[in-house]
Amino acid sequence: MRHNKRTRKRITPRIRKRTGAQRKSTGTVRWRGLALLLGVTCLPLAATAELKPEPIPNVEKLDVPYPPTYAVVHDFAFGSLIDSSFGLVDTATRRFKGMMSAGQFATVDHSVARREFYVGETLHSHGSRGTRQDLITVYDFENLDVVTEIKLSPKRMNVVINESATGITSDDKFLLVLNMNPATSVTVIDLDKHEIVSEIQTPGCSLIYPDMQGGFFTLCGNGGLVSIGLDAAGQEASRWSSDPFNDIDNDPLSEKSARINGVWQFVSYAGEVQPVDTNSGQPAFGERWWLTSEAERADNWRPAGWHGKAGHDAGLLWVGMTPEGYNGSHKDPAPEVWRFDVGKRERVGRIALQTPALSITVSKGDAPKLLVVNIAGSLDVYDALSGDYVHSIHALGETPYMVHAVD
Amino acid sequence: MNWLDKLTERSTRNIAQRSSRRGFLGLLGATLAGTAGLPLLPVARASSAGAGPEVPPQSTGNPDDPGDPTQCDYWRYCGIDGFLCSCCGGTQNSCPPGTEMSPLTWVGTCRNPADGLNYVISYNDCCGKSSCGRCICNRNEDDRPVYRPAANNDIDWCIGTTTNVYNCSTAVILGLATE
Repeated sequence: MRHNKRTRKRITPRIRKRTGAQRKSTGTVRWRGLALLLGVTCLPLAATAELKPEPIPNVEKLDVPYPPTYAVVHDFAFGSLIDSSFGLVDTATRRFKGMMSAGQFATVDHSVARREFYVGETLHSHGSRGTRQDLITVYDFENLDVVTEIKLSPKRMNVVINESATGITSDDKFLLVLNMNPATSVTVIDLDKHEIVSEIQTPGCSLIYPDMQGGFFTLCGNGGLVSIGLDAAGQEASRWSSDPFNDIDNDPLSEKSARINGVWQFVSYAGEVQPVDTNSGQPAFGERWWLTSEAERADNWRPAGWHGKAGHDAGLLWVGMTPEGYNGSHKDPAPEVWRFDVGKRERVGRIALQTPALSITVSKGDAPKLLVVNIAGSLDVYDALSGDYVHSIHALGETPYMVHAVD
Repeated sequence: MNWLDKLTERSTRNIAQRSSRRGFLGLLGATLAGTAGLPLLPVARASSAGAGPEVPPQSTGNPDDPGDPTQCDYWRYCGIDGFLCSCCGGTQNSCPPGTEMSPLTWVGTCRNPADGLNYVISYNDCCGKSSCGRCICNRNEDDRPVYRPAANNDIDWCIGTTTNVYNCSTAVILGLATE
């Protein structure tokens, strides 16, 4: 104890002395700086307040609610799949706001009302080996910190980034998670309780498309769909199977779709649109129409991009397009994005991108932005209506392949 | 003969009755499906054409099986999607040491330029180690959406293995596909 007291006494004067010396030397340093480096204009010419000690630890918080300009960029980490991540960026300021770390083949959903992200991930207890653990990890908007982990059966679908591997019901009550081992089912999670409430078997059918009535439908390998209604407890309340409507062998509907005013807009590999209206009762199949003219099809224009569709409730659909279509081009980069009025079933805009797109999304609101993850791994921001390029955000991970607007 | 061998034998017989890979896949059904694993995402398409100068060339040593298995244009890779095991310590039909070959695959039908015949190729994943990261290759001919898993190459088919961590993909000959 005595030794400690002495130490404390000695330390205090030393700090004071050093501080005093710094004050005295300020003028000397200033003159030396001016004499030697005339170009250095940032040196203070007037006496300045000394910098204050800064707190440790010091961790940022985010203001909530988020501005409508935030987006999450998904780094798939193809070269190190077990260590992927989601970066949160402000597309207006280009600032990187923080990130969420994740395991392999991760998914992300969010609820603006709940101010939470839901990251689906598969981990192993020893990194690349050991016991498999599948989780929905809940993060809060304010801290990007883990609120809780919801343990799943180790069978969540591991698939390269696919928005429809999960979904949130239209009433914001349940998170839906696709399983595949290889039998398929959907796990239903109550977002109030952060608990699993049911598992719905979907044999022969995959992926999740929330309807406007609190349920969802799933696409089936026979070319049909199955619509599932949920009750207030998240249990299956109804089930309806459609007749086949999707010619999978000859021209399948891409599973990468966009919902506009409750109508899922599916686009075939060749470029034909199949609307599926979920606003009431059973899903209803709208009239098909083509994105392209016959001449454009003859020129091999086809939909493209990893996730090349985006929608806006103003009745607008954006689709990544390539002029180099062929059997197998459906995941190729898209050098252009075309904008369509789905009510008029016609193209109303055409954007030649600065750099071809892997994936696109469009923000909500009256002045929507087109967000493009490009083949160079940057996020490009465009005015979604005029097509004008705004700016880019770079260095977003090893292999960023997907962007989600957080609005 | 285990269940997979029997399944393969049955599948091969079915192939003989079908002229297209899609027809073959339709017979197989979803539960037999598999995939070579990961997509070569378009960002890496530039490297699809080949492994690059840093990877020394290889040969099967068999003139009836021509081409370089480290190159994306090797004939067996017509439906592959992922890192080529030939660049990762394995070969075109074997996994690298210490990995585990997935029993489930997705299949393609590729034409051998040496004899002009179509072969059914099984794209078994190698599992249990993280991404090899070498010789990425993606070819999506006849690839179908995830809801037709038997014909989709986005799905991680390290299923039925000790872990579902993906390392690389092989291209194993199952047999002849008759026209």
